[in-house]
Formats: sequence, structure tokens, C-alpha cells
Amino acid sequence: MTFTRKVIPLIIAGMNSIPAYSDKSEQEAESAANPATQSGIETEQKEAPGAIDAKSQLDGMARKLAGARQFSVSIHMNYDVVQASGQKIQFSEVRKVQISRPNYLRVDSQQSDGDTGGLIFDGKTLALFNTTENVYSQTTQPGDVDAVVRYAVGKLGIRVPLARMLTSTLPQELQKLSTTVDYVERNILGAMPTDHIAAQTKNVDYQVWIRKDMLPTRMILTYKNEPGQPQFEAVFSSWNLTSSINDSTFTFTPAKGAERIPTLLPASRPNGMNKTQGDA
Amino acid sequence: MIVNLKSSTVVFGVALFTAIFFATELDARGRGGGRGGGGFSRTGVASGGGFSARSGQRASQQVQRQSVRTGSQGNRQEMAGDRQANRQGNREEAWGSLDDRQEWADDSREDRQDAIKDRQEDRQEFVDDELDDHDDHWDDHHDRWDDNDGEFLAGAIVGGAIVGTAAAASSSTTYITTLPCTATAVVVNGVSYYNCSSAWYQRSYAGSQVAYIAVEAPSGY
Repeated sequence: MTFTRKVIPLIIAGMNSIPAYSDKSEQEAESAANPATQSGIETEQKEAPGAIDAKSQLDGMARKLAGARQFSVSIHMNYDVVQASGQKIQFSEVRKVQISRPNYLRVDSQQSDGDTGGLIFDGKTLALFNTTENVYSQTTQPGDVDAVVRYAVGKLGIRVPLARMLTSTLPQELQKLSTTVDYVERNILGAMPTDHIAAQTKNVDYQVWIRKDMLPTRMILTYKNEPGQPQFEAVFSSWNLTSSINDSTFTFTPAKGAERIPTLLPASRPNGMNKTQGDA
Repeated sequence: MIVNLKSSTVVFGVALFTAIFFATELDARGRGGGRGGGGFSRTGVASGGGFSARSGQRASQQVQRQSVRTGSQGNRQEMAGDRQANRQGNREEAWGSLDDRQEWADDSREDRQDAIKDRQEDRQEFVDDELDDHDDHWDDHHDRWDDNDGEFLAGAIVGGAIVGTAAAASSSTTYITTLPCTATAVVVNGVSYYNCSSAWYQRSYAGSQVAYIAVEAPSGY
């Protein structure tokens, strides 16, 4: 598929006048290291990698994340919220995600309004904490990270943006959900060149920029069937898949004076009630 | 707002509360301190960052479903238990089959969409059928809490932090994301209570947000 870039003249003109954007040596090293992307580049077809490569790139990213023994990453998120009036407002949030499979997960988040909190899972107990309110809750939910992510999002209704990216089933899930996967372009901007992939699911269009080591640098989800077509954007930084994470990171210790509060469970999921092992 | 509070026994060691809540979600979260001061809602479909979205699942639909559900809650609880093993098996089978899937979804797309649509209609009446849809939409469930239209949602308490306090786990109560007044916390037995006229509230997680549930007045008040 060829994607239209409606502002081609402007962009090209702008690019040519700003040589600083193009890190020539890094580009060349990149191309040399990755012959696959070289084929056809000199011909008239800029679309060289093609649809098949788009899928393998996307799959490669998914497998990289799903197969990681542990990883940590910081994600700067921006998302639209379409108000009742129709006005679209963007909010932001920074999340640090730490996973040590199979059983450990920690997410620390700070919203643009200052609200700070997160969740910690140690293989047995899911702890939610909010340092702004100085409260926390704990729910017993034995299992692995995959299970607790699904439980937290699917059963408790907890926000875990990009939840699927935290699961080891990501490759299968993306395959199952995606109806189209296409290559947009090789994006040469930024510290590392990326392959820009565009894919669609039934209700969500998504784009991901994947760098050479198969880690995503950016992702945009467009809720195309929702009023106002709100978008969710994630910019990834500080990927680390090699350093093991200290177990103590995943030990929840209530802050001083923190109050333990209950968690509401949506009644629309009676299955969740049955499965839940609320602790006393 | 009708609040039907019923005290329940404080239970230690009991795993689960299955009490049903009627919950009213008001616009804008937080109390005081400049949070949400503009009155803008900060949650919606995109805030969830899911790869799936149930299009058209709006609050009015939820209300309809909830009313059906709460009407036969007792029956459903029993049925849910009976079907538990069965459903579990089905789901694992569905997930297991993913491993064999070599092709992308294009081929089965239309079939699946039809099936999903059918299931969504069924869901209006049968809560359990939602689980059939679970695989495709599990990362979308957050927005059950995100409809800021003042609609009713149903909920239950899990992770019994209320246990061991003087608070009531009631058969019916409300949660709100913003207190109706500027209240100062009254701490009784380590639990913060907030009082607005004759109503008392205690904090609770509703999804990712800290909300307020209606409780009985703490002892001494």
C-alpha cells in the first residue's frame, strides 16, 4: 500500500534546507547492517520493504517484547478525550513500566495533573497505590504477568495503556487483531532511524515506529469509530531489556500513613467475582 | 439518588464480596486542589490505550444492560458458578488455538466480525456471553468506568480493604468521583470518612481512579 503524503513539497523543501536532520554516517551504517532494507532503494520504488516486511517487522517487535525475560521502559503518553461538547482535549501521562517475567510487574505513573500512583504485582498480590491520595489497595490474584494484566484491565477495569504490549502473547494478539499491516516509510528523523508501520484492527488504526533493534520508539492508536476519532500516542524511551531488575522493585510497601481502601469490581463481569480471591 | 445501605458483618478471612453496587459517576474527578478544575473529563476510549475498542458502547447501552443484570442478579450468580468451569475451558481453548495460527487475520475477518456483532447483541441479555468476546476486547474494559455521563454502573467490592473497619459493605450503594461538597476527612479506626450533609463516604478504587463510595456514618457520628 502506498500512503499519501499530502504535504510533500513543503516537507521536502524543509528537509533540504536543514541538513542537520540527516545523520549521514549513521544512516549508512544502518543500511550496511541491514541489507534487507537496501534492496530496491536505488530504484524508483520507495516502497521497497513491502507489505510482507511490514508484517515481519511488526511481528519482530512483538516477539522481541514478548520474549524478553525482563524489560523496563519509560513511556510518555498523550491521549485525546472527546468531551461531551465534542471538544477534543489532550492529556498526558508518563509511565515507567518494569517487567520481570514471569511474575513481576510494576507500573509507576504520573498524570499531567500531578496525580501519581501505579501498580505492583509480585506473582500473588496486585497492589494499586496512589501517592497523591495516599491510598492503596491490594487484591490477591496469583498468576503470572499475562494473567494479572488481563485481570487488571479486563476484570477490574484498571487503566493499563498498551496492556497487550506487556503480555507474552503480544505476537499472537497483534496477528489476531490486525486486519491490515503496511509499510509506510523509513523514518530517518530522530536519534535512530525507524521503520514506520501502519496497521488496522476492527476499531483501531495503529502506527508504530520500530528501530533496528526491533524496539518501538513511538506508537499511535486512532479510535476511528469513536466520535471525534480520538488518538492515543506513546513515545518510548530508555528501553532496557538486559539489566535484571532487583526483586525489591516489585515488593509493595505502603507509604507512611497510607490508607488501605477497597477496590470496586464491575458487576458486569460475574466471572471476575468468582475468580477473585479477595484477601482480608 | 437513592442509597440503600445495609450493614454487613465484618468478616475476616472471607475472600470475596459480591455485593452489588449502583454507582453514579459524576463528571470530573478529584476534590479541590485544582484537579480537574476546568470540568474537563480526562478519561475516554483513547485514555485506555487499548488495541481494541468496542465501538458504540455508550453509557445508555450500559444502563440498559445493567438494569437487566441487576434484575436477576441472584440467578446469575448461581449460573455463573455453574458455568465457570465450562467457560474457562472454552477460553483456554481459544487462546491455545492462537499458537497454531500462522496466518494473519484477514481470512477470518468477516466471519469474526459477524460473530462478534451477534455476540454483542446477545450481551444485552446475557452477561455470560460477554466472555465469548473477551479475547478480542479484554483491553477495552477500562471504559466501563469512564463514562462520565452521570449514568449508573454496577460494581462490587473485591480485595476487602473494608474488612476490619467499621464501614459497611452494603448490598447497594453509590460511588462518585467527586464529593458533592468540600469535606474534611474524619479518620475513624484508620479509615477516612467524608461527610456531606447527611451522607458519608469512604474512598475506594473504581478502576484506576480513587472514588468515593457511600457508607454508613462512622461510630460516634
